[in-house]
Amino acid sequence: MKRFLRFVDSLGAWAVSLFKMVFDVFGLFYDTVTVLFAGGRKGIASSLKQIISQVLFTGVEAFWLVGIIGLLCGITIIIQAMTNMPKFGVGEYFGNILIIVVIRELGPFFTSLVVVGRSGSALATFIGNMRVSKELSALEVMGIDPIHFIVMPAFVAMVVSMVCLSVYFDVIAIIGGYFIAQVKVSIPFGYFMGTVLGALHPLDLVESVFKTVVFGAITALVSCYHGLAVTNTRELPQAALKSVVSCMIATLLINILITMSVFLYSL
Amino acid sequence: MADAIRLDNVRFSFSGVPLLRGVSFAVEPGGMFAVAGQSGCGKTTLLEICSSLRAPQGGAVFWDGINVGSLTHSGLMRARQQIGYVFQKHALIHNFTVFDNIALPLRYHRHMAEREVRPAVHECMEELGLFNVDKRFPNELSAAQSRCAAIARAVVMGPSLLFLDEPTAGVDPITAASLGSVLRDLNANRQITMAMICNNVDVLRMLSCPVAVLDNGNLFDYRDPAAAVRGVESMFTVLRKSL
Repeated sequence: MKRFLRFVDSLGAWAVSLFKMVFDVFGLFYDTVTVLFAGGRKGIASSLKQIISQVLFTGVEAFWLVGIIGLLCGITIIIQAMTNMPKFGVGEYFGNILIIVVIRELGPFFTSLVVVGRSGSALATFIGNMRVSKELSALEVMGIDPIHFIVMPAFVAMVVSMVCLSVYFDVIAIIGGYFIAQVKVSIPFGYFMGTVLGALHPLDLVESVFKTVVFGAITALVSCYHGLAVTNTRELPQAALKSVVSCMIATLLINILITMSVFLYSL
Repeated sequence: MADAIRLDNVRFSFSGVPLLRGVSFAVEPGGMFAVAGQSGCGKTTLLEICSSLRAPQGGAVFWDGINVGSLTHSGLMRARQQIGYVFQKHALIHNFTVFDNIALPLRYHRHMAEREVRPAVHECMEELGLFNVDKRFPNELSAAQSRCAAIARAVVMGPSLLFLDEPTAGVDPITAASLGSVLRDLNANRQITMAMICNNVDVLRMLSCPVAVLDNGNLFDYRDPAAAVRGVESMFTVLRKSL
């Protein structure tokens, strides 16, 4: 009985800490959006330099990695679709499959994985390090709001980078994948592109962009939250770890929610 | 004329252990005040409370007669533009160069054009003896250079109040003396009110400012600079003997 009570106790503590984290992340979101849309020089304009440097790190420096993953995914999906779908008599629907798999699902999701693993963990460590070395306190005592100076630029940069990287992933996966897949299957480029573009619906693009915006926002906010929660050097690696795990779980759950919502809407 | 800084019966406990038991003191405009004491006695906490980084659990802090605790968030952010704080471990933004660190408050608060920022930062750097380190990052600086860069960042906006947390800790006696003279010149030339934590008796003697000793949560105030230094010296003598 004691063990059971202890289990219930720890489960309750876990649920409370989870609820607190979700609540705090929403609070951070509110503060960030408030700062983002604040009028005059306090808004986005005064943080352009930080936003650009964050876009360079999160977006531009991740192009090669997203490109490789996109290309490999594209090759695999195109070869599988081209070789297996005709066997089931649905060969003419390969365009729809590509749109659903690449643009709606894999593009946003794989891009999110890359950004979470690469930039999310780095952001949590960066902010945690600033907390430990009292750089955040230094900003506060200078009258500089850390939300305005660090969180908001990271938020904007991650959303922008995620959208750009996802579009880049889609293009590389479909067009790059097509050219590489020519080794295995032969299909005219005009016919291929015509089928893919013919299957593309505006809702697919809206869903893809919406997912990337949400994933980017979550990655930035959750990473910043874990970075800001650091109190000593020992917690720095844990902050990076927690940031990656929390972002991945949140991304997966929200991906399912958005997919289900779009499915119900399009019924 | 209101005191530049005044603490009224400030109390603070950490995990149930009282660190400050009703601390009060005041510094007149343009004056200097130093606090000495053993490690862990609450000196940094006291300075953080003075500078609004930490809220007191009892009592009040006044800057130029204004109760800091009564300010709104935006009011506090505005008021903080009038103060400078030098952390013990400099706390320079690690991915910014020295120049960018010092220019940060000017760019953020005053939105100055780059052609105005450059001379203002260089003037401040020269005043503090920082030469040819503009493009260096904080990890490429010596301890003394880091302190000077942190002081430069704290005074570049021309604050009326400057808080310094052990500005001479961990540096050799010659460098400590040079930092002491930098602080004395800043106080004399710019009329900045300074409240600092300092355990270096030589520097305290050089600054000849009132010193208080924080011990067991109580502040023992010595208004006479010579008596203050003697008090700090005797405190360290007692401490050495007890060790």
